[in-house]
Amino acid sequence: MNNRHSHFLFISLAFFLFGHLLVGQTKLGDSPDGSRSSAVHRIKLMDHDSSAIRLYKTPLLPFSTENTCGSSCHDYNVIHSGWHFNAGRDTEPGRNGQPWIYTDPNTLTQIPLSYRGWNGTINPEDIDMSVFEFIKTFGRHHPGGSVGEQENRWETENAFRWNVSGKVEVNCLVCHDMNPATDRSHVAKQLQKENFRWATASTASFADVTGSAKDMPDHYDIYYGLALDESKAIPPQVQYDETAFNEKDEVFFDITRNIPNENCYFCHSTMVVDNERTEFWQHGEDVHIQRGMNCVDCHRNGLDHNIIRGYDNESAEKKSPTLAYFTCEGCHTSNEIGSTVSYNNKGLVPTHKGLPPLHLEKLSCTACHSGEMPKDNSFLAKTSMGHGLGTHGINKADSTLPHIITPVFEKNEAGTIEPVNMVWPSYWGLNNDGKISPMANNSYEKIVKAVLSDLPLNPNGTWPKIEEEKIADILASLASQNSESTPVFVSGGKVYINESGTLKQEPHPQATAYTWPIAHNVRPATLALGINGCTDCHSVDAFFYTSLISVDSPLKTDDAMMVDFQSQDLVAAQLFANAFMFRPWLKGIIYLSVFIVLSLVILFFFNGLQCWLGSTKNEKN
Amino acid sequence: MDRSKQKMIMAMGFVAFFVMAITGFLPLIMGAKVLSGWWMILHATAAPVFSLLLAVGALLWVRSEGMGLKDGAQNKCTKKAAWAFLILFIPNALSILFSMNAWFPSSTQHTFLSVHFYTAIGLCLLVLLHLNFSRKNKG
Repeated sequence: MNNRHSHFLFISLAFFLFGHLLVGQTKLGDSPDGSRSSAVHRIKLMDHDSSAIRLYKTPLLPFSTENTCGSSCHDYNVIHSGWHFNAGRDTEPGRNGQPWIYTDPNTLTQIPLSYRGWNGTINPEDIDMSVFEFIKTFGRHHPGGSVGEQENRWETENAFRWNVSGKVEVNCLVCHDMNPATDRSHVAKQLQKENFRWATASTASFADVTGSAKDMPDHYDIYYGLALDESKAIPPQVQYDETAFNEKDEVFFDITRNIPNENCYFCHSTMVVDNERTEFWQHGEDVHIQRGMNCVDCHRNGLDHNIIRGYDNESAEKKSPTLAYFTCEGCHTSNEIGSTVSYNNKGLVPTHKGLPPLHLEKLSCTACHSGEMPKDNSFLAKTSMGHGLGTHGINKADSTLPHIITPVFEKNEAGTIEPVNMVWPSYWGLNNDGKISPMANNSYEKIVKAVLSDLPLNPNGTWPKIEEEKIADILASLASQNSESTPVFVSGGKVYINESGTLKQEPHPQATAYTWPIAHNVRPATLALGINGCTDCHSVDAFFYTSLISVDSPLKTDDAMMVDFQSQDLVAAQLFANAFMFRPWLKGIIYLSVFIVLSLVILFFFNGLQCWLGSTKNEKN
Repeated sequence: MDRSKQKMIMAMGFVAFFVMAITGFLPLIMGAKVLSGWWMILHATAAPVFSLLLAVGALLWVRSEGMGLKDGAQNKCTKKAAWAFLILFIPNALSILFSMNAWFPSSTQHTFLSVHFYTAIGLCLLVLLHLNFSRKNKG
């Protein structure tokens, strides 16, 4: 080996070792020194090319969180593997969560979507919804990352559009920014304009984004812009507030580790539609929040941002015993202080006076303490993720789609009854030997809209009133363009098939409602189910069993009953409830029997004592 | 009360006891974690019948057999088993009666349920013993 070769090898080895050291190194902001004060984030803005943003530069580019937050302070690669950003990756889905719900009343569709593969959801790819379209539709309430930066999922036909719009980075500000001027609703606007790269910057108080990537041609280049004669449309651009920059081109971000609840609420608000509570102030908040806790007190995470979801099996699923402390039981049923959690994570241990222990076996804590109290009819719930709450231009009508039914007391896989939210899928599909595949939007949209064209305008965003004949007509039209499979309409828990002009319906497992457990709002003991005694649930007309659950569909359907989802027998439940009328008699008879038997036992004891005393006296004599 | 009526009450008491035992233990043997549903309804329905028959039966039995272990026609072991049954019945019944009131927290109710369960096992064993001794007595 000559000198040149050995030099080359030496330099390569040095680079390799240096690179290796850098990769494994903890970044500046990722290793807390123990101080409880907030770190002041006066930092340089970096663009997507890792160049510092300076106000005199042209074109001015939006700052990139990956390079601004992640350049030297935080390990972006670790962070973006966290729960909020890892949908679409090969991660365990865990317990069912709220899906993204694609709705279109004009095509009679309501489809629970998820990249996580929760049982009952449909992968957006299965309805031919591109990642690009998914982000435009649902990114408004998503903190970035996920499929928005998983290039392997991006469709080749949108390659140029991705180039113009850029990827959707993790939006650190949506959670961590305390600045009251941060406007999270701007993300929705920018995503609609396909300004993916600009979306995070648009929320910052010192940045203003104008223009639209959507209006730009495929060959648009963010560095060179458009030729003067090319278009009159305004290209996406950002302007920064000069006063926000100091002489070193640094900007102050009001960033916190202890995320305030309002930031979580932007994506996690729920509003129940109740005619008796039309004012916003009539709706309560979670008892934990009322008592001064923050969401992140329980939903904690480390640098990996794998936030604790807090459900029962999470600890076992993630093989982390510590997580068991962050469930209802972990916090409220033991006085033992876990060695691996902070001492302030222990709640009051409830006594549950008079509650037979079998209730703790058969019901989840949330059954009595979370969500809405059951009434004669289920409610509709509106959520940030489902209804775009907190963004501009949404349909605020109570009945607007998606129709999320709440509360439904359902028996889960572990055999425990828990309250869940429910959404009934409604879509056009193809039946192949009993397996239904949802149809792509473009294969039914024109036909459905043509058949339903005579329907009146529907300003409430709810289902139009549809007769079965219309469904039969649509299915017949769809059949004419699909010779291999049978077109079906899935809705209201049933599958509708057109058989020689007659619409037939049958139940199908793929038509069943998708449900996800309700965890919040948590109600205190004084507002829990059962506070009025056993008859809250054990009475003949108790809503726990008899509440009518809306079977949501554009077609006319019969309501279901709560007990149908509990794998319980209504007759048995009502007979047992009736038994409560005779309970005083039952107790009286048993008390009387115990009194008689106890008297006999006492007599027997004294009789034995008398015999023993008599025999002792005789022995002495 | 004549002997035949007394025997009939005792026989009905045994039937009620077997209903109690079957509805109480069978679902647990079949894999249920707790007693509920139809089993619970049957168990709770048979309970007052059984306890009343037991009380009346015990009164009649004491009247005919006397208080002492040496009194009456039955042998000592049979009587010992019968008295042990009556003694064990008290915690068995009281544990479930107390749990029907809102006096105790769930943790204590859990203890009551354990008391009810284990005393019920004891009652079953004593019934078997009693039947065994009675058979030997007849033989």
